Amino acid sequence: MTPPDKNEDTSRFSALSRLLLLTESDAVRKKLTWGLVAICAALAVFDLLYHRHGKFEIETLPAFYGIFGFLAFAFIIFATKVLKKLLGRPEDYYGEGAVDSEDYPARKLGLKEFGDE
Amino acid sequence: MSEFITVLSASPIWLFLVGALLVMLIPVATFRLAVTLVVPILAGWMIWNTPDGVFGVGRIETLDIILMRMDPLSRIFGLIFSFAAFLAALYAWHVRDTVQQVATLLYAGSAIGAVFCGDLITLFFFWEGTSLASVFLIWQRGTEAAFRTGMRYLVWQIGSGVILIAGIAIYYGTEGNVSFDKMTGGGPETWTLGVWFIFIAFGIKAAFPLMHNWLQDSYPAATITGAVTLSAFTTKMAIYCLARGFPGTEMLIYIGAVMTLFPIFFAEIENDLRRVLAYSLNNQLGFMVVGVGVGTEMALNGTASHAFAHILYKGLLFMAVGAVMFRTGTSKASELGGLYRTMPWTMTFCIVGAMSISAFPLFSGFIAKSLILDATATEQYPVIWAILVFASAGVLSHSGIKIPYFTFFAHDSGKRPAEAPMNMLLAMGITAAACILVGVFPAPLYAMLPYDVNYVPYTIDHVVGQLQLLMFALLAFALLMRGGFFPEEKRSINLDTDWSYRVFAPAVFGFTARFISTVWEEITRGFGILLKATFSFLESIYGPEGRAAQLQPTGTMVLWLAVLLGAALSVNLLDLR
Repeated sequence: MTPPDKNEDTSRFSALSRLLLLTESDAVRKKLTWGLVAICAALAVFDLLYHRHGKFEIETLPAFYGIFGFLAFAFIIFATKVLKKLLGRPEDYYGEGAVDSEDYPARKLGLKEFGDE
Repeated sequence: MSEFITVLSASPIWLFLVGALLVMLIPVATFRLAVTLVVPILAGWMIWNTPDGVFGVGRIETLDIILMRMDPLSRIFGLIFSFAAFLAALYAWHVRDTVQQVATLLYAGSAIGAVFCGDLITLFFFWEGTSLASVFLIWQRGTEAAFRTGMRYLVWQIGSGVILIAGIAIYYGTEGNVSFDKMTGGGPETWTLGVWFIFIAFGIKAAFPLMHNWLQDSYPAATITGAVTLSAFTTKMAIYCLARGFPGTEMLIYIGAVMTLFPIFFAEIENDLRRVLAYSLNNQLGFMVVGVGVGTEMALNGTASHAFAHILYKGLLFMAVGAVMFRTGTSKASELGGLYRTMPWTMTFCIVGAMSISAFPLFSGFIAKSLILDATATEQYPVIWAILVFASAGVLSHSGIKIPYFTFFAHDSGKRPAEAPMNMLLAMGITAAACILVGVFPAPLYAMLPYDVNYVPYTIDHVVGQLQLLMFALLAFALLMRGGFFPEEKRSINLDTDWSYRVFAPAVFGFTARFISTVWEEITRGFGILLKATFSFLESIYGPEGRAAQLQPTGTMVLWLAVLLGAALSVNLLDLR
C-alpha cells in the first residue's frame, strides 16, 4: 500500500472530490457530527409537535424510531465484536479451495491509474 | 415439430435461445454484444404487450404443459428480469467472453421462463437451466479456486433441482396434475411429502437459513460482471415461486424473520465487500419471504415491489463494487478506502444504491419495503414487526454505510484508480436513475403490482419515523467511529455453515476412514500372529525336529488310528448310557 502523498496535486480531481477533501480535517468532521446531532434533535422534537398514528402503541412514543435505531445500531456493532472473535479466521483458512486468498486474474481487470489515458 | 415451435414461441424464452445461438455463431465481437443488449429489450417488449391469459399450451403424454401464463405477478417479475438482463449486458459491454455472454442469456432466459411457466414440469426444466447456465459465470473467473467454488455451488443448485423433480413426481402421484398454483390450502401439518420436497427445493434457491451458504460462498467468486448477473435472478425466481406456490404459509414469516436477522451480523464482520453484499442480499430476501408468509394482498404486493426495487439497487451496489474491483483488483474493505478522490461517479452511484437499500425517503427501498412492514403491523405480528425494524437499521449498517464508507472514504488506501469505464458508468447511471425515479414516483410501480394498492408511502408518520431510524443510526455510527469503537477491517474470513461441509464433514470422513483402516490393520496383524504361532506349533510337532518326526510314517499312522478308534469307542460308550 502506497502511503498517501501529502503534496499530492489535487487540482485534477473533480469538484465533488475536492469538496469532499474538506472532510479529511478533524474540525470539519466534528462539525458534521454536530450537524447530525442537530438533525436528530430536530427529528426528535418534531415528534412532540404532532401525534404519530401507529399500528402499535409503542410507535406513538416520542422519538421511538430514533431511539430504536440508535440502540439497534450500537447493539449490532458491539455484538459483531464478539462474533468476530468466535468466527474470524485467517484469509487462507480454506486454502486453494477458496478465492479468499487469491488475486483476481489481472488479465480480466482494467487496472488503470488516475490520470493515465 | 411445428406444434413445438408454436408452443415455444409464446414464451420470451425463444428470444434468449435464438440470442444464445447467434452469440455462439457470430464471429464479430460487436454484433455479439449487440445481441446480448437487444434480446432483453425485445423480451421486455414482448412481456409488456402480452395480455393476461394462458398461452403456449401443449401436452406431453398425460401432462398439461403451459409455457406462458401471464398475470400481474408473473408480469412484474418478467419485466424486472428483462431490465436486469439488459443492465447486466450493458455493464459487461467491455468483456469479450463468449462463454459468459451465452451463459448470461441462457441464465436470464431460464429465469424468465420459470416465472412464466404454468406447470411444474416446465418449471423443473428452467429451474435446472438457471443452475447450469449460471455456474459458468463463476467458472469463467478462470482459477482453480473458482472451479472448486463453482462445483460446490452446482452441488447445491442441482441438489435443489433433484429434490424438486422428486417432489413433483410425488405431487403428481397424489394430486393427479402438475399445474403450478398454490400448492396446498392447509398448514404444514397437512402437507404431503411431495409438497414438502417442492417447498425445500424452493427454500434452497431462496437461501433459507442453513441452506443459505451457497450464496455467500459462490457470488464473491464469480467474475466481476457475473456477480451482477447472479445477484438478480436465482434467488428472486425462488421468491416468485414461493409467492406463487405458498402464499400465506405462516411458517414463512418466521423463516423470513430469521433470514433478515442473522446475515446482518455476518455482513458486518465480513471483509470482502462482494460477500457483504451477498449477506445483505440474504437479509433482503428475508423481507420478501416474510411478505409471502403474511400472504395478504398488501403483503404480496410488498414482496413483488420489494423484489423489483431490490433487483435494481442490489445490482447497482454489485456494479459499483465491481467497478472498483475492475480498477484496483480487489473488493476487500481492508485494502480499499479514500477512492472518492478519483472515482467520484462510481461513488455517487454507490451512495444512491446504498440510500435505496437503506430505504431513505425518495429512494426505491422506502416505497417498497414499507408495504411488508405495514402488512406485518396490520396483521398484528408485533415481534416480527420489531425484528423487521431492527433489520432495517441493520441494512443501513452493512449496506448503507459499510459498502460506500470503506470503499470510498475511511482511511486513505493511497490507491488512485481511474474512473470506471463508460459502459459501466452508463449501466450504473441508468440503474441509479431508476432507483430514484421509483422512489419519487411510486405510482407506476404500484400500478404493476398483483393487487390494488391502498397505500400512501409519503405520510408524515412514515417519513419522520424512517428518517429518525436512519439518522439516529447514522449518529450512532459517527459516535462509535469517533470513539474508536468501530471495528477495523482486517484481512480475514469468517466461518459459516459451509464450514460443515468444507472442514467438518471431510474431517469426520477422514477420521472414520483412518479408524476403520487402523482397526482392519490390527485385526489382520493379530490374525497373522495367530497363524504364525499355529504353524510354528505344528512345526514343533511335525517338523523335522518335532516329536512326531521321530517315528516312521507307518508308526504315526497306526498311532493316529488307535487314537481315532479310541474316540469312536468313547462316543459309543456315551451312547450306551
